[in-house]
Amino acid sequence: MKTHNGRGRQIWRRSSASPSTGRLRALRRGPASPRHHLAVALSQAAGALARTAGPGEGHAVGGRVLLAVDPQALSHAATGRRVCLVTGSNGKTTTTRMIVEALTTAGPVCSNATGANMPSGMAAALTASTAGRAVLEVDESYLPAAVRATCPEVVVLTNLSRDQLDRHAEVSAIARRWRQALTGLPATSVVVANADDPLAVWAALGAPRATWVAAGATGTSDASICPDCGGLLRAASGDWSCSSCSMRRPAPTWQLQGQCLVDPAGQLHVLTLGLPGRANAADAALATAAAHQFAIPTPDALAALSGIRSVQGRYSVHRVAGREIQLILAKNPASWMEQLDDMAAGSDPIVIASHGRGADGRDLSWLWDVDFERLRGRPVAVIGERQLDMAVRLSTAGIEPLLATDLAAAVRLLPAASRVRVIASYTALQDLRRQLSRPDVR
Amino acid sequence: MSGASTLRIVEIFPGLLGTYGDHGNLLVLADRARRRGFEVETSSIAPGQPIPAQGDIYLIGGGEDAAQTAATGLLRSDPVFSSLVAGNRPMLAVCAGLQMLGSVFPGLDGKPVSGLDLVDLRTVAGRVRAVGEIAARPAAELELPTLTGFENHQGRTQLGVDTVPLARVLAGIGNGDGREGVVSGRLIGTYLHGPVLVRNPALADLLLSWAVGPVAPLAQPHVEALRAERLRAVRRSKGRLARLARLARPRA
Repeated sequence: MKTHNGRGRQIWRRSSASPSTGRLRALRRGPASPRHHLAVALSQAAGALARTAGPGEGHAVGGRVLLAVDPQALSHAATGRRVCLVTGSNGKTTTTRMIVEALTTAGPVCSNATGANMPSGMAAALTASTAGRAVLEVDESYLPAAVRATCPEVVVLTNLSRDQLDRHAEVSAIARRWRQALTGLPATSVVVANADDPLAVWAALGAPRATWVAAGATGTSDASICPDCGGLLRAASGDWSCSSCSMRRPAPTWQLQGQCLVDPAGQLHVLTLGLPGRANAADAALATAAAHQFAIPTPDALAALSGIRSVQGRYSVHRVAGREIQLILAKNPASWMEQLDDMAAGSDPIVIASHGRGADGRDLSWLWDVDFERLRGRPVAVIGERQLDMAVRLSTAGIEPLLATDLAAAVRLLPAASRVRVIASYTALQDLRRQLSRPDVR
Repeated sequence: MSGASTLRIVEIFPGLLGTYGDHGNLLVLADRARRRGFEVETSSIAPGQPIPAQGDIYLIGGGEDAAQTAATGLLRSDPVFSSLVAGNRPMLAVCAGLQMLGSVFPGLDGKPVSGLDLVDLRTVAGRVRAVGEIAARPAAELELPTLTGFENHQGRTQLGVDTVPLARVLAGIGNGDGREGVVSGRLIGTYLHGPVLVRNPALADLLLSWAVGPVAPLAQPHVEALRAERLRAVRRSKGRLARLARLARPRA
């Protein structure tokens, strides 16, 4: 049943008369066990309770209950659905959201849109919906488990670079796990991978079928060694190849050229995204290619994802201490480099919010891989539990940062300007969103 | 500084051995030298380029297994590198950089790989990966304050009988036997990231003094505050671990 949401955009709502529900039942391999039904009921109760604690908590908590009662819950909940998995170091939340918007043009879709991207969050999202198609964001480490449990039709690999190394240990080890997992896909499944990211390509080559998207890459050195033979990789003007084996950039069927996307038929589409920068255009290219696998025409997909203005609080605009601020996520060297590119032209004052919790990575050594020297001359204030790591990094870069206790205090310290950019680590962004949702802070 | 007026800092293969932010060691050394009025010239050596013979301080960082093996092969065939270590040139080798200077280290899938055999030490794979904040008390003759850093490695390093550790571990794993790193002449090897010279400016100044002679003190309040915060954090987590260990111990 088609309805409209508050923003005038057409969306699909659950309905018992929906043809997809009938199809879903027909597709189920067998009735779910009583244990699964109990698990679903308990998890939904726990999820409802957790949602009162704040936005985004429901799926994470409900999912943990679900998996505790039924360890196979993700597999049970995925049975009979057409699943698309999205993983990578950067852009997985945005790409997931974009694919959801594109697929929604042709019917209901379910997704773990709040970023609860471990098996518990995925299972909770699936059990909360009867939609026949699911788009799930997957934490890099959990791709093998997610592939085994959901038997996905499409897997999207956005990119792979250093992130939370205290948890993931080595970037190349993740690539090996991905490749191993994708080897097990059925012949009908397809991997949509970024042709400009050697680690993503190598992992995708494990799959029976791959679609290559020239989505571009951020200049990090995590792919300087050939993942296949350990030889040195050569990279030059958008191409890459191994100096000692046959690994090289595959010929892409989709190509991002600035803010234009060339489809497999050679048709050029102009992107009119509501999100800025190269990285979001790359996510849009990958999302459109993934939507194509679900038979969504490219113009429809692009029109749908152009409406996105903010994803999980990223790029959202708020008022703090009487000034306009924009929230931006930067969580690892690659995402910081993208943000520095986007900011190079402006002169807005900046607040940097740094935490070092589990989801940020507890080791902040990577701050020294980011070219913060590019912010010289800009007023910068630092907040967060690890503000001192950032302060030392900035002062070595020739920037004397202002230290503040919270966002409002930081904004007051900075010179007047039309807008303050607030660049936050993963959990710092979650904290700021929670604070900004309380009226007393504004 | 070999007679010249410019301090030359050489970073070896940062694209292969710079996974854990070790480029910060170069930035901090250069910054601390410039703040004392020295001219500084830095160079980052890419794979395939020869290692320059005329550097004043050399830096080797940490990297992943395959990159470590590739870098070892490149340095083995470099005509200059081994003479730098033999010639007692100031050098900082972190994590993978430390391991490859020894006789053997664990490569991809734990298979032993021959090292450069320039320092009397060997590294084997440990059972668990050492990941977390680390604190260590430096050897007394170095006259350095407590070292703070973050470690992330699988290797356990055994020093030869006449080889001297950099420090004693107060919290964390380090070499795996209570010792941390190595000092061999003007070469310092360590498992500490952070990066290590960011968190331990006195160690940066020790390397600088080996290259240029005694350096004037430098007050950096943010750095001192960061050191204090990280040392507090490691004490807190050590207390938690000790409590957990007590709880896990069977009652008599």
